Amino acid sequence: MSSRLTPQPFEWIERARPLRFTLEGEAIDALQGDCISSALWANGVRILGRSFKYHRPRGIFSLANHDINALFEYVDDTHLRGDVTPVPAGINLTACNTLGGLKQDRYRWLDQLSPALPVGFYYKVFHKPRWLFPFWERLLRHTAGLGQVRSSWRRRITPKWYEHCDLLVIGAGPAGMAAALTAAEAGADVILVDEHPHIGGSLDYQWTNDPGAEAPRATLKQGVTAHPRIRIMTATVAAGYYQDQWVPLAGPAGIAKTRSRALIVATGVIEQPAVFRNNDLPGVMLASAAQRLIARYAVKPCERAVLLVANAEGYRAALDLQAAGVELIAVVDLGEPAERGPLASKLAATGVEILAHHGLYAASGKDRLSAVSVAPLGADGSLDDTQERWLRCDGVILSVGWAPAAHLLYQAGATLGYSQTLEQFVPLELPPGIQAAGRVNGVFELQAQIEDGRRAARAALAELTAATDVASEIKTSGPASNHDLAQYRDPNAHSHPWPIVAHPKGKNFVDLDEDLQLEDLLQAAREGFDNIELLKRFSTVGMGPSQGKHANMNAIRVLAKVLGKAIDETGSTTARPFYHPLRLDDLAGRRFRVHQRSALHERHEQAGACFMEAGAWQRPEFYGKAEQREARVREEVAAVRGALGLIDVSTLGKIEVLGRDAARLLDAAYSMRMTRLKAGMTRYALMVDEAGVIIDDGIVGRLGEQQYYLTATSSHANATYRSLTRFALEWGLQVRLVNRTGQLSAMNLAGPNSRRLLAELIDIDLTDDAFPYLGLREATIGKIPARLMRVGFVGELGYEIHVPYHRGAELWDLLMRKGQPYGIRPFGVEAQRRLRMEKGHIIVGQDTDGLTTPFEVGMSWAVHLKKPFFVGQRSLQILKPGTARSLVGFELQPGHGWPEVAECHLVIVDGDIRGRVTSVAFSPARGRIIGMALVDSEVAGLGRTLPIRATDGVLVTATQVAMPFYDPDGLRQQADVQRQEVA
Amino acid sequence: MKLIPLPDLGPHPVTEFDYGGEQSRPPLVADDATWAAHVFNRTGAPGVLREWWYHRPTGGWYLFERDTAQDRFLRSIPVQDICYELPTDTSAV
Amino acid sequence: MASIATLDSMQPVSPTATRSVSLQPRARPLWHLLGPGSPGAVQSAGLPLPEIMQAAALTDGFIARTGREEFLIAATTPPTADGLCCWCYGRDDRVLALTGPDWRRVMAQVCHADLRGFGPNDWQLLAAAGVNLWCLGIDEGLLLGCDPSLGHYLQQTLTEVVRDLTAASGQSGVQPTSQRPTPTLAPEPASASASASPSRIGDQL
Repeated sequence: MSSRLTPQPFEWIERARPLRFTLEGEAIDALQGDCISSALWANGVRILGRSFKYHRPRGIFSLANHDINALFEYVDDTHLRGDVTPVPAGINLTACNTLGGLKQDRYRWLDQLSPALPVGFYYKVFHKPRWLFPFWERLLRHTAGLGQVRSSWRRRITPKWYEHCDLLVIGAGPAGMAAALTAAEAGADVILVDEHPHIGGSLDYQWTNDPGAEAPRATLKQGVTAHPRIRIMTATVAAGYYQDQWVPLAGPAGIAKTRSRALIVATGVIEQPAVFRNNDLPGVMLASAAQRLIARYAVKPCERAVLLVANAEGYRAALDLQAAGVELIAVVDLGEPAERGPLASKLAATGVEILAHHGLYAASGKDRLSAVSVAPLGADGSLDDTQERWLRCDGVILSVGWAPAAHLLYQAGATLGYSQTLEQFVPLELPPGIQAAGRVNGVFELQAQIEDGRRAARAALAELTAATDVASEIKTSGPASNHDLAQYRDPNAHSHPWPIVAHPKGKNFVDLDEDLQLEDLLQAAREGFDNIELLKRFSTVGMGPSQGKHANMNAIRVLAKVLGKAIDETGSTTARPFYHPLRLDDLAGRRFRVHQRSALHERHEQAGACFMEAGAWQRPEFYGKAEQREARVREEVAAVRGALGLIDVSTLGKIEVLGRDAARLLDAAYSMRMTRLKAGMTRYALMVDEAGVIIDDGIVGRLGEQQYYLTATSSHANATYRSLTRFALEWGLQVRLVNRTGQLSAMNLAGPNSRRLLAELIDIDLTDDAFPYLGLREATIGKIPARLMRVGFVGELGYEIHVPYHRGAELWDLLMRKGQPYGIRPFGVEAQRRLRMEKGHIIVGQDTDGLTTPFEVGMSWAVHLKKPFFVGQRSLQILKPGTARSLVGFELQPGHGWPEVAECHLVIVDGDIRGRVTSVAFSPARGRIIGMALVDSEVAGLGRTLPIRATDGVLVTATQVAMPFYDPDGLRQQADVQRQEVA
Repeated sequence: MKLIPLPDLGPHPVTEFDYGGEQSRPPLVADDATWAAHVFNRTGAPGVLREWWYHRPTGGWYLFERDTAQDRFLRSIPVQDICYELPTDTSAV
Repeated sequence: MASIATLDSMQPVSPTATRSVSLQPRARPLWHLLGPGSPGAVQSAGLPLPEIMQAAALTDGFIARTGREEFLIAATTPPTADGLCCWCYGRDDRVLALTGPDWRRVMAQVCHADLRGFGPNDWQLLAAAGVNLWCLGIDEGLLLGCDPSLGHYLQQTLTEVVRDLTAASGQSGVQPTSQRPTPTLAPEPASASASASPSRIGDQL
């Protein structure tokens, strides 16, 4: 049964829509619009959570998601923050971090152990004996932890999307709304975002009883809601600031990645606690929390309240509590009530006891607040505890100060400084495109906040109209005119510089998330962690889920005092994204995993291909069932060697090189001479970088006077195109390049029967004289226009055929059908790798690494140092005399089975690593396992052994042999072996 | 994320680009040490750097001067400004 | 109060619109024309000569100028290229038409570019969903083209986005999008095997 106050003018609850849920089995009555914490408080529940380390009972503290006292979970989710999560109808909630429930948490005895658990104790204890450490680790993980993640949860997909606007206003309080309206009226397209489900900000819970707020509230709220150029996003957090006004807005539907041309940060201030013994008892709360409870949820914060105030807001809160029927036992003012303005007099007139120059010493109560002690402050500001007086109460309401929610300003590169007038950090210099308005800018009076919002909008608009997009004069506007940034700031402090009271028995908390007491910070400073970054990391202050929202300011004050420095000198820690935690599934969004497919993909599927990923490409590794891989691959290899094979090589890079300087470009980009290449012929092409390291290889063919066609490796295709286009610019060449990699299908018809089959289908002469080895021709196959090259990669008579993408399937079908009598068989990447390895052909990136030069892989023949110039020439001249490594061929004993030798297995000679295996497989041609290894030149040598450390660490002895392993004279690819008839 | 201001095409996000590194003309006539410094050493100190950027959607190369300390693009450089002639004789060998 | 003459008033897309959007493949002959002689070839063929990064409609397609001396032409027959200072290659791009009042919401999920002002005959080369695209504005939508090897991925991705958006806007009884999500119990899975609690989170993916 929940009790509520009479209807409040701006309440969020819907009284006509009751709901029910359970907390640890106990029924809780709630209303639509309640958050979990407000519903529990309305039902008289006072222990909402147990603290992280000591498992102390905790209640409502900020009710603003600036603390995590109330963290709940249920079967389908965890880490529900009670302050901001709507009540879940029909669901049973349990609290995170308890064993046995909130009231009977079996870890609550840890609180008694606390003297043995000082700050950083885990760095010092538990190391000895070492064997006990796993036990302590398990224990700690159970006792100190938050929610439980369950692997049974199902994945949600919340796609992200992009948004654009001229102006992004963060915070829909008075300053933010005024700024948005001003900008929209001037023609800007505005997004106004607020983390709460309703706009209005402090207008609707702090200025509720102020008649002067009625008109601005109505004007602003109605104005922004109705304006066509303002898009409002509520329940949405501006999670961080990224370069060039890029802000993720995280809302219920997912994350909107928003690019704005200008930003106004009107995020307000975060109320700060006073530090005194037992300031964490349920019942002790911030004044703004009490005001939110009343205004939004119509819940009475307590029956008998003592207030601790250091500003005018405190008196406003006192009056609000009175209006809600709370009995005010006393108002304890750290300073002089006369300086607090008319509200203090108004309160005094109601007869409430106001204690000037007094402070709170300690709170007490079992599991909830039942009394608090007050004492006078001496002239030096310290508390005289000898005059301690106890007051019975069930609520202590704190209004001692604020810290700006300036996280996004820091991330945007703004500089802030500590204002002695305001006792608060304020922005000093803002980068271009960024404005600040309202209380985050130190402006507290309501009308002043509205004016400050308008000022910020005008400043942002001025920058927007002045910006030009002409890149040759990129406008480097300096910081916005900051001289009027301070125009509307308050002349009085709203924060107390030292709301902190020491106590011999401790339990005066600075950081409630981390259970950090005042003594912990003093201890850390004494141990030498006397810099704010060190203090933070050693003590963990500000490292909990609230990330220091209610703790950092006091921590800085403590450190400044210990060091005897000013606050500005002490500094503050870096505010990193995200402002509030974001769900991983929201961050993941929709998964974009690019894949590339050749035109023949369906043909491969129909033929039963087993696909592999080669970069973004999906390629057939072999055709057949996975468990028959070895058998199928051997069959494919045999088909190519003995009859006919067809492989899809559409992934190869294909680049047209056109124009007057085409030959010069290629000559300078590749290591071999290109200028003497004849039309109708191709040549192997090796590309090295400026350091002389091999980066790509392929074929260059000449189609005409000023027309070349080159292929590149699949993985380097785009990079090669990119390099060539840049070289053309750098060298001022008249040449055009077209990247046709994806636009053409390519397949390799290889095997002794290849010419016979092709001759049946093609319209040109295929004899050796007409189309020699390494030749390049254009022809029609069937009715398909094609480019053909006679290549030797796999070492058999073969033709690489390039056709337009959309004719690829047609060509494949034609060849497969007409090739049946010749024993044609499709073969995949694995078979191709073995075939080329038998020929000793390298694969760039597999047999070469980031340091391999052509000399190391037996390719001196591909390096024409006598050319006028090519990229890498100078380095190769320097490197030529001595090669540190060599690529060698090796073979294992026939019949070798176990242990398996695989790629990257190391060559170990006399206990030292002297190289590694780069390629290895069974060779049908040699009847044994062969491979290549990149080894130190000193251990290379034909006939020498090569000890390879294989699977299970066993050393296998291989023998170095000459490459190619098969057909060393290259006869197979040059002519038809069975010269039965001339095609 | 960061925007790169392309001449004539306006600002585009850095994710559309491939970074091409520092622009420097190779010292074709130099001793081994100078050559090695060109190949392996980079200007790491904060300052204004001239860099290559490749815009993938349009396939264009651009040269920018960037203040690396503040990560701010200052101006774009026409490629003609840094062109050099390929050597045509073999005297450098 | 300052007024902005240079900023346009943009009509925001209503988040609760339930109108649909559709994605259709379009096959058409495409040609890549380039070289110093290409502008002349275009004019000789009687085609309009657009400015750089602009497009013009043709009776049977469009012509877009992708560079000083480079064009993408959708037409049955391309201009004649002499092979000396002007070259022409066929293009087999995967072309999709994304149409419907909500087409911008689909693009907003995959592409960072601000397409609010993009209209018929507007032309842009951009990156979306991780691939390079060309875009031509058409009535109530967009014609998109990408490399054929990426066509399957692009069509699959955009189809998923269209499907998700259509499903989301058709839901009734959904809480207003301005409110925080209320915890709810996940619905029971359809098959019994899915409800067995797996040992690894990876099993769910």
